[in-house]
Amino acid sequence: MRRRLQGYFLKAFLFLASLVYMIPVWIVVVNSLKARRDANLLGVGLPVGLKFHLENYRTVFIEGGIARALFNGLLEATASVAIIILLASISAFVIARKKSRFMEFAFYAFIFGLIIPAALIPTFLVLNATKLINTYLGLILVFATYGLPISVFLYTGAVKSIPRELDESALIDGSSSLRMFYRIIFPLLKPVTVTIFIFSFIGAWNDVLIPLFFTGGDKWALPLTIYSFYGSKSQEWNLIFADIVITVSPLVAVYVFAQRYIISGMTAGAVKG
Amino acid sequence: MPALTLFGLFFIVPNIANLFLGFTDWTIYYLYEIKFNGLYNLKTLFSEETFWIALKNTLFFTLVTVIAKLFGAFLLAALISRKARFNNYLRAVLFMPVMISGMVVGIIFVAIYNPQSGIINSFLRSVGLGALAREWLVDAKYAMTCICVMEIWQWLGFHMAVFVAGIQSIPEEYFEAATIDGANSFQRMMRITVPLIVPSFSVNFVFSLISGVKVFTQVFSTTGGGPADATQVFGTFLYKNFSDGLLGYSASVGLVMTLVILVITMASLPILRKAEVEL
Repeated sequence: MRRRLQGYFLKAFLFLASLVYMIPVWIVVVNSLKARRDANLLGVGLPVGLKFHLENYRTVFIEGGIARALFNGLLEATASVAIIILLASISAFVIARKKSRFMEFAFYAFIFGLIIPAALIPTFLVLNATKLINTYLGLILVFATYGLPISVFLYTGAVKSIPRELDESALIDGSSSLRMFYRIIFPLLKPVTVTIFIFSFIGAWNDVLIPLFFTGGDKWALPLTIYSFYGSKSQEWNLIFADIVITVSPLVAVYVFAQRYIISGMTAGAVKG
Repeated sequence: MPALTLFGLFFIVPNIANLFLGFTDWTIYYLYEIKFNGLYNLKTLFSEETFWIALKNTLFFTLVTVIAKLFGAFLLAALISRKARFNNYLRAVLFMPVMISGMVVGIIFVAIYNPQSGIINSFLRSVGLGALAREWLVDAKYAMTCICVMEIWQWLGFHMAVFVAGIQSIPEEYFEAATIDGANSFQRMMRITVPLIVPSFSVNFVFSLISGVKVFTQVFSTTGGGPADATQVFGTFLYKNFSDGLLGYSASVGLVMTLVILVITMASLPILRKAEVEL
């Protein structure tokens, strides 16, 4: 009996804890559907008279530059993730297989990259010198660079768990080493690839620091455009909240359908390495 | 090694260049005139009060968030690691903020912390605790703590999920054997769970440490460093000088920031080394 009671008590506590997470979401959604004056009260009630002001969304779409920002985010995140997976997997393979001073140095260089903050100001200089400042290519390359350390780290651990005999037998069968890598090793790294894909995509999609430093407004993705929108509409919470809903819904929609895979992908890859 | 080339160009070279630029008077206004000015930048920096505030705030933020994330996440994980439908729901809900940009979370919390009509103060007033209502983000005394709470809110679920993955990888038989031997649930947790999830602990520690010392977005989106520089951290302080066009000076801010992070990392190296062995 006491155990049962304890169980109910625990459940009630945990349910309250989950409310701490659900209420902010509710506030955002419900206020994005209100008229301006009601939304500015930031309350939790439904819109007055259940009149849903969907026109807030139309206003945001036009004034917030959503289409452009959505395109930017997709382009920047997809391209940088592709580069990260391509480069990190193969260099982790080389680092794990070749035993040399240089490879050891390379590995520790990447490890240091995990810890040391990026030197933003000189990066600005490098981008300026290579004429990549304020370009998509420059932005994508910087995103990719900052994603490399963790990816190389995770891939190296995974490659080490694949028996060396496997690549040797493939080489004996006469396949080239690059072919061997993509035919045999890369498929075996799939769990880590999934982890890195999710991590890097979310990271690039949500990042604001890099575009803020290195590009102008026309290359910004949703999170930064919402910031400038927020700056110019500080007394129109209905529009700000509508913009927030638009900004987070692509990832949250994917999350709702694939949350089990996303959570296990992000945690298992991180724990097992 | 194209990866190393890319990494070298945009990471290693800039970090080395930082060593020089930090000692120059380079500004955006005279982009092609760079002169060394010796220790002038560092002298100015150390005599600037905002720098010390930024240092203090970064350390405060790191310490508070790392400890709260690890303890809170472990407690929650211990409570909900059993496979059950209600637990799955909780895990999904708590993990969700990971999908949301820190920028958006910041703006949402500006609304929540709003002194007049934000949900926190409205709730306090409606249950008769109006005396506890504060001007959260506007009051220099509470602003930094409020930002910490927000960061913990966003990432607690992630760290919890890492712990849950660790706990679920422990074979069920261990717990059964301990139960038969008469161990109660607290003993089972301390003697079996805790020692066996050291790897998850290390992963969580590294992740929260890194996001702690590199904090930028959370402050930028809520207070922008204000009120009156009370919530400046290294990241925002650097950006402030960068947007003022003081490139050489902000490079030296970055340099000091790197040094501080290196010192912190060295100090926590015993824990990190454990992580490396386990990973």
